[in-house]
Amino acid sequence: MLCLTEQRQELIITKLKDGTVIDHIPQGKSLDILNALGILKKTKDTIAVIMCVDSKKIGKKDLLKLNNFELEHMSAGKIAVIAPGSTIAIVKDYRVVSKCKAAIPDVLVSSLRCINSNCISNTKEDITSRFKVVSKEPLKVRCHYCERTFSDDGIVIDV
Amino acid sequence: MTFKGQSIISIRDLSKPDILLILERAKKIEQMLSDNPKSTLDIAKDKVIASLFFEPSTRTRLSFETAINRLGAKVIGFSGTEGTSVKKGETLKDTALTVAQYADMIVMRHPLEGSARYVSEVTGIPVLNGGDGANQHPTQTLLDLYTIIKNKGAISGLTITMVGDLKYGRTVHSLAYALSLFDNINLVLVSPDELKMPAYLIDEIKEKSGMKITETSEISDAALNSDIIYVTRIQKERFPDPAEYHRLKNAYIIDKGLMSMAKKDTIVMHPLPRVDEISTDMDSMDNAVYFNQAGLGVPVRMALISLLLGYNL
Repeated sequence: MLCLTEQRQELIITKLKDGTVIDHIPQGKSLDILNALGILKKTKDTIAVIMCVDSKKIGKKDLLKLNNFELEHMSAGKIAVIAPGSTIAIVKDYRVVSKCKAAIPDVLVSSLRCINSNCISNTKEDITSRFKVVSKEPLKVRCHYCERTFSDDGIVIDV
Repeated sequence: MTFKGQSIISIRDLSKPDILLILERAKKIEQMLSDNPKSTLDIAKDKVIASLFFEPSTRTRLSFETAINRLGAKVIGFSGTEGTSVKKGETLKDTALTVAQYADMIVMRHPLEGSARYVSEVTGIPVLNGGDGANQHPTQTLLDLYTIIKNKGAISGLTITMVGDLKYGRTVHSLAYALSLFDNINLVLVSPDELKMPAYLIDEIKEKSGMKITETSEISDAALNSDIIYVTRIQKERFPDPAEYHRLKNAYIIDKGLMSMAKKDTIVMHPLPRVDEISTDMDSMDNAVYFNQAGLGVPVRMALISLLLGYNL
């Protein structure tokens, strides 16, 4: 997928045959997405991480190309929290078959972890985390279980 | 909302019409028992209700169990986890699913926040939250509102002062939220800086309702001119540093002397237990309604249980 040509010293990124492209990632957030989605553990296929690319829309952006990797449905919520405004494109046989903007949903399921140590969701009980989005800009969420409201550093991605 | 088969986990689950309907039902039950308030209605003879108190309680457990008995239903359950499988490491889910095989409804108190919501989701039977950690205690809020209506005739338009630990006290959090559903409430919050009501809660209430909220560290004229002074205990168990507790524990004491400066008809409420924050010399005053407030927990809880079981009165 990646090669450095000898004559022109340019980075060439080949087209993706099958997989996912996450584009318009705010600069520096691509590694956070890889980590949060556990992508490195889930695939042995080629991953292209392209950082600090010029963007007309957002100045500088990051880009991820995930070869032979299809995102789980819940992952879009995590991406929206980490990198709002990103676009997710599913590619099949070199063609984009679906494309969407990573928008923060009204409810985030399996995306965040409650930082309240006294919350039932932080015990050995078999619980799927669930947060109601109280405000999207700035992001504020309320835990479905302990009902605490979190913003800024209180919002932690469930890795 | 249709109450039959539902759970009451958080005051957030209830709309103003829901709250008023519950309080109307409580009033009706009081009227039905007016000849002898300690008699029974016997409408739920075929029901078994589990009372699961994973941590200590006096008023909540006893008034729930009194309410269950006065409706004619049977109570099973435990108070404290000694002697249960919880001590053997059983999960809350397994305990709840087992109890749901026996009972028609669960009343519970648990130290973990969100526990009652979780139990209602895994069992599918009605759950009444009697307190989950520092989170919610909706039946306390409902009986507080009922006490206010009984003493003041209405909730809207009142000036209410909350005094004491407003940071950790779940009763004041829930009550402040519930009051925001009513019109023209003037809420005065009196606490030391260390025990102020969480900002996120005040922000939420202000965004939602525009209720007037004043924060202060002193019992000022605003407090003394209130219709209601709602006092809470400074909770020793919340302080990692005992010295800090001793410094703050007597920050506010409501006594006869203070009440002589208040409006004549100002009532003093408290979710109890109290320690020193209300002087015992207050107890005989007409303004002191806190024991009656605890008593009103029975008709309010009878109202809720009867609604969730689907009985018409």
